[in-house]
Amino acid sequence: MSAAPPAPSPVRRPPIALAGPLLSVGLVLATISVNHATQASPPAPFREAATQAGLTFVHDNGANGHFYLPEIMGSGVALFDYDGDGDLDVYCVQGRSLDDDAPGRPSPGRSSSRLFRNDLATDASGHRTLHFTDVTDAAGIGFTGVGMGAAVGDYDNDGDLDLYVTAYGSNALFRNNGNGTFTNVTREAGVDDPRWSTSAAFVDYDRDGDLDLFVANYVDFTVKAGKTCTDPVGAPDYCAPSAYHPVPARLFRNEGNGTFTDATESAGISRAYGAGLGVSVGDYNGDGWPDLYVANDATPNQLWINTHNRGFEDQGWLSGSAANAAGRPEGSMGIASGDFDADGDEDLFVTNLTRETFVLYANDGRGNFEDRRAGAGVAQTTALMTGFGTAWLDYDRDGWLDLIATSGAVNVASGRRGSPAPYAQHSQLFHSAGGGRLVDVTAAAGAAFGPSMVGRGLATGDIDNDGDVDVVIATNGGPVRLLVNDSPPAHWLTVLLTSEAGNRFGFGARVGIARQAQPTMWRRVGTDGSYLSASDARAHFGLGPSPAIDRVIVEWPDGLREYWTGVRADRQLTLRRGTGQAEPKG
Amino acid sequence: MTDRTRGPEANTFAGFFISLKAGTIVSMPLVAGAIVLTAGLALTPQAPGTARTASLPVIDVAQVPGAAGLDIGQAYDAARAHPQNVEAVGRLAITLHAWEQWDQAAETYRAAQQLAPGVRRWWYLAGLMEVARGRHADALPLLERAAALAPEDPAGKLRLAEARLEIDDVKGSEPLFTELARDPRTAAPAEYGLGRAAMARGDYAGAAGHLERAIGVFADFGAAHYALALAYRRLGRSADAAAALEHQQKCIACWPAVEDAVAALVPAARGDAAAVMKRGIQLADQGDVPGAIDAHEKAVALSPALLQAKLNLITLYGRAARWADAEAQYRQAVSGGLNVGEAHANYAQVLLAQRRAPEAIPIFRQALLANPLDAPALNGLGLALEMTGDAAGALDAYRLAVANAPTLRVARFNYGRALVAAGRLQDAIAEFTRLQEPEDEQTPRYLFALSAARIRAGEIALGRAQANAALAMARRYGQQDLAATIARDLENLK
Repeated sequence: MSAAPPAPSPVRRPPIALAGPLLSVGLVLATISVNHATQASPPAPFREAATQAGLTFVHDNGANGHFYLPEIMGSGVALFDYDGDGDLDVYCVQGRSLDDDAPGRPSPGRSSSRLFRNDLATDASGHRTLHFTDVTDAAGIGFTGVGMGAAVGDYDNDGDLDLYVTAYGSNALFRNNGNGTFTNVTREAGVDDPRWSTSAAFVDYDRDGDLDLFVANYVDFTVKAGKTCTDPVGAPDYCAPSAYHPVPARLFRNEGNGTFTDATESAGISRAYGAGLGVSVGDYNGDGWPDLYVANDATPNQLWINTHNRGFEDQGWLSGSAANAAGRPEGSMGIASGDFDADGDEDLFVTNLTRETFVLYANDGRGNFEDRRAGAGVAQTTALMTGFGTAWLDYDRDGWLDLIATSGAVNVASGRRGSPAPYAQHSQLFHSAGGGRLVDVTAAAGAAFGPSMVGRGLATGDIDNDGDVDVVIATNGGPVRLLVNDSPPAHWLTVLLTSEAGNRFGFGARVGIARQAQPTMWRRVGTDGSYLSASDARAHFGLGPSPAIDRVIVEWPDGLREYWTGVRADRQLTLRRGTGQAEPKG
Repeated sequence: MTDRTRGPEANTFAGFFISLKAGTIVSMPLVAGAIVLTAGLALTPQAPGTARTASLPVIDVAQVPGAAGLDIGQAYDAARAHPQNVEAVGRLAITLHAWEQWDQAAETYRAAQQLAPGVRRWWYLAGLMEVARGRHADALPLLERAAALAPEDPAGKLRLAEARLEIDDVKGSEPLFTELARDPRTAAPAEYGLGRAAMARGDYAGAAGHLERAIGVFADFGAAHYALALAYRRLGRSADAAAALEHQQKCIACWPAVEDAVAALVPAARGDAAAVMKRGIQLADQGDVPGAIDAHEKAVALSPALLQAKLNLITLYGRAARWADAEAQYRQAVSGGLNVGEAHANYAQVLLAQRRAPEAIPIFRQALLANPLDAPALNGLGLALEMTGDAAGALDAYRLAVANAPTLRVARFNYGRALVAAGRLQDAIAEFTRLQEPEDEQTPRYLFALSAARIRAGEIALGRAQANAALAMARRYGQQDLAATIARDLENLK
C-alpha cells in the first residue's frame, strides 16, 4: 500500500530535539481496475467448493462508514490438523466493528473466529467427500477480538499444533490440549502484544529445539487518532499506512517451559522495522540457520539474517530485497518463499499495491536478490492489482513451483465509485514455464478464479488428501473460498516430518527429492508466509509422469542430514528423525 | 541538473509524492518548465481532417465529488461540445489523467490520437500514464510512436529507453541509453540505465562503472547509489557497498531532473486545494517555511474543509515562530472535533519549542489519550516533564517512546540521559551503545554521551578512549562546538 500521488498529507511535527525539516506523511491512495489479461497454458481445474463442503464463514470487516484502517486489512486463515486425524482443518479469523470497543457500548453476541473440523470421507471406491463442521465452541477457540491473522506451530512440543491469533488489539495463544480442545494461555506464555499485529510465524531461530514466535506489527492507528483521508478525487476513503507511524515487530523466545521471553531488543529486531504485514522464514543465505523476511507496507522490507548467536542482522537493503530496483520501498503485503527455479535456494515473491506490480526476488544462494519481476513475466499482469495472500504451489504436479496470489483493493478503484463491490479484484494463477518464467493462466484456472472478491489471507494444503494442493482464500467482508484442486493425474509425494528431539514437526527442515537426471526438488517445512495465514505443515512434491524417486533427503534444522531410499510415490510419507541413513551435508 | 525529483517509474503526476522518513527531503517536480495547460493548447497545431469526431468515454460526473468533479465536468462538457476538436478532447484526457481516472483517461487519449495521429503529445502522455500505472508493456508502443514523431526529444527518448528496460528488453534499451549518455541533459539517468542494464546481464563491474559515472554527474542520485551498492556487494566490495547504501539512504528518491514541458501539463492541470497543499508540503520539506505557509493558507482558502492543511499550519506557524497564529489554528482545529489528537500533538510541540513546558504537558497527554503509541509525543512529553523537574515521569515517557519507536534515536538518547540522571548507569550505557550504529552526524554526540556514562560508572579508561574517539569524530563532521566541549571535559578529567 503505497504509491503516488497521495491524497492530502499532513506535515508532521518533528521530535523536538531534532533540528531537521518537518516530517510529512503522504496519505496515499490508489485506483484499481481488474485485468484479466492471460495467456493460453495448461488447464488448472480449480473448483470452488466452500459452500458445498460446509465451510460457511463470512468475514465481518466492521465497516461502518468511518473508514477505520483495520476494516480493510483483514483477515487470514489457517490450515492445520488440530485433531491429529490426518486431514487439514480450517480456522477462519473474524473481524468486527471497532466501534464495539467504544466506552459504554454493549457488545452483544460478538461474532468470533471459527474452527471448522474436516470430516473428510473416502468411500470404498476411493471417492473423497469433503465436509466441514463448525467445532469452535466445543474446541474453546472462539476469539472475539478484531482478528487479523493466524500462525500455527507446536510451541510446547507435545505433538499437536497450537494456534496464535493476531489482532488489532491483544493477540491470543491457544494451546492445543490434544483432545480436540484448546486453552488460551496468552498471559502465562507471555506472548501478548496489544498493538496492531498482522502476520506471525513460528520459527526455531536459536535452534534449541523449540519454536519461537515472530509477530509483525503494523501501524499505530487508533480510533481516537484516526485520520480523515480521501481518494484522489476527494471522496472519503481509507488512509494509507503512511498516515500513521509504523510500530516495531516483536520476537518471543521460547524458554521451553511454556513461557516466552521478549527477545526483540536483544536479538536486534528493534533496529529496523516498518509497517509489517507479511512474514516468511527461510535460510536465505544458505548457512543452515533460519532467517526471516518481513514485508513492510510502503516501508523497506527487512531480511533478518540469523547471526547464530540468538540475534539477527537486517540485510534487506544490501541484499536487494528491501525495495524495488530503483531503491524505492513498495507496498509489500504477502510473501511466497520457495525455490521456484529449482536451484536449491529460496526465492521470494511479494505482492504489492496497484501500479507497483508484484515482485519476484531471485536468490543467488548467498542471500543476494535480483528483482526479476519483468523477466519472469509477473509485472505486466499484476500492475493493476493490490495483492495480499500468495503462495508457491505445484498445482499441476509437474515438479515446478507455480504461483497463486489473491488481491483486493484498499481504495476505491477509478471508475468503480458507487459500485456494490468497489474493492473487489480477482485472484491470479501463474504457471511455471521453466527457465524462470511464469505465465498468467488465470483465465484457464477454472471458474473459482472468476468471481471478484476482496482477497486477503491465503493458505495452501492438500485438504482432501488426494495428493494435490488445494487453496483457501479469506476475503474481506465476504465468504471464505475453498479452491479444490482437480488437476489431471500425476505422481506426487507428501512428506510429514516428526522428531522426538524437539521441534516436533521439523519446522525449518528442508526436504529434498532426488531423481535421475533432474535437479533435486527442495521444499521447506513450515506454516509461515502468505498474508495473515498459515499453510499445511507437510511438504508437497509433484513428480510429473514418473513415480521414480531415488532418495528423499531431509536436512533437519540442527544440520543433521538423513536420507531414505526405496520410497514409493503417490502417498503421504511420515519421516521420523533418526530413522534414515545419515550423511554429511553437502 | 541539480534538481531532485522522482524516478522514472513514478507517476508523471510528479512532485506530489511525499516521503515520511525523518529528516529526508525527497521529491520535487519532475519538470522544470511550468507550462499551464491553456498555453499548451494554444501551441498545439490543429490536426488536418478536423471533421473526425472523437469517441469519448461515458463519464458519470455526478459520481466525482468536489474539485475533481468540477474540473472533469468542465473538460467533459467542452469535449462533448466539440468532439472533433483535439484540443478539447486532449484537455479532457489530461484532466482525467491528473485526477487519476486512468481508464477514462486512456480512452480519451486514444480519441485524441485518432483525431490527431501526428501530434506527439497525445501518444507521449498516454505512454507516461501507462508507465505510471506500472504497465510498461502497454506504454512501450505509445512511447515508440511519440519518439518517432519527435526523435530528438531527449525526455521522450529517455522514457522510451526506461520503458524498454522495465520490460526486460535490455538490448533494446542500451543503444538509446548510450546515445543519451552523451547528452549532458540526460547523462546521469542514461548512465544509470546502462548500469542497470549491465547488472541485468550479470556484468557487475561494468555496472559499477556506469553507476559511478551517473553519480559523478548527479551526486545525490539515490537510485544510482542503491544500484551501485548492489553491484559492489556482488563484486565482494562490502565496505564500498555499505558506503554507497549510506549515500542512498540520505536521499532515496532524489533523481536528476530532465526538462519535459509536455509531462508538466499533467500536474499543471490541477489547482485544487489538495494539490496546492501538496506543493506546500514540498516547500516545507525544502525548508521554505514562508512558502509552505503561503501554500497551506491558499489551500485552506480554496477549501476550508481541508482539515489536514489546518493541522499542518499549526506546525508551520510554530516553525516560523508565529506563536499566536499557531495557537489560533490549534484552537480552530480542536473546535472542529476531527483529528483532534494530531492537533494536540502538533500544538504541544509548538509549546515545547517556546519552552512552555507546564502548558505543553496536558496537551501532550491529550494527544496520547488519542494515540498512546505516538512516540514523538511521548518524547516531547518526556522533555516537558524533564523541564518541569519530573525526572521519574520523563524517564517513563522516554521509555515508552523507545518501546514504541526503537529507531527514534532522539528518544533513545533522551532515555539514556534520563537513566544517567537516575543513576542507572549500566542501563544508560546499554542505550547509548545501541545508538552508535548507523554512524551519522549525530554519532559524535551519542558517543560522547556513552563515554560520559562510562566515566561516571568508573570505566575511566574505556570512557576516555571513547571520548577521544568522539572528539575525533566531531572534528571530522565539522562540529567545532561539540569538539571543544569534549576537549574541555577530557582536560578536566586529567
